[in-house]
Amino acid sequence: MAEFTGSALNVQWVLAASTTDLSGDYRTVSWNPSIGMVEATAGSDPFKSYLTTQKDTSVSYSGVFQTAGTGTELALITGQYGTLIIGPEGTAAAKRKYTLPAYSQGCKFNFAYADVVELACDFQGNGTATYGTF
Amino acid sequence: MSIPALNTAIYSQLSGTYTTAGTKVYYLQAPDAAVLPYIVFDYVADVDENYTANRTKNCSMFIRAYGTTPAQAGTIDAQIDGRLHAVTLSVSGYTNFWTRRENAYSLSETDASGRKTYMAGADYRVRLDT
Repeated sequence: MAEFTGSALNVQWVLAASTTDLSGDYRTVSWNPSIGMVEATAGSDPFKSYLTTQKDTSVSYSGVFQTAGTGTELALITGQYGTLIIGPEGTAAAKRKYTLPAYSQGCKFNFAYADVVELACDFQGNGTATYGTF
Repeated sequence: MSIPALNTAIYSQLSGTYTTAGTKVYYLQAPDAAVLPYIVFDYVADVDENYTANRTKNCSMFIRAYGTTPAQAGTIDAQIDGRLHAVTLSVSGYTNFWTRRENAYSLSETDASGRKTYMAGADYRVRLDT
């Protein structure tokens, strides 16, 4: 086992009609699982206790926006439904693969005069997040 | 490591009828007994930015004019500024997305023969994407 960087990460946004490869221009991708909680503490309990409810997953992407082209923006347009496939170590056989059906929450831009333009997009998972391998 | 294509682009952008120095545009050092005025440019440094999988270079060039008077050097420095600041350079193998003037300098020197020369110039930041 060894530590690794995100440099080999592969991230694909798969739509019914096309697939957008977000790997080339990304800066960060955050995978954020969570689970709902219901408090189950009784009045005499010295510590709080919880019951778990539904799991949820969201993903945040940021990358460098490219000139001359609207393909990425259109693929990520607000409300677009697709499937995110993320390979933290690339797509070689047996490497881990995260798959998430998700809604795009739309492109956010940061237009800085003296720096590259950054594109960010959040994805809200819809249904089961699958932890597998390529 | 300098980028020959960037040096070529700088030379092409400055040499000719664009400045009072004409074709007297030299890399690193002017020839011995070069006739004033002239331009000298250095490839000072670059850094690979490594912020995405695409390779990007952030380069610093020091480009200055030498003249017989401060005014002559300053005039050519302004002409260089006009040819480079906020201009998109044609660099073979790269896309130039940022070229801007940064720190400016001036200096006077007296050579071994007693001739005074005056320098005016600046650092230029050039950013390239592959």
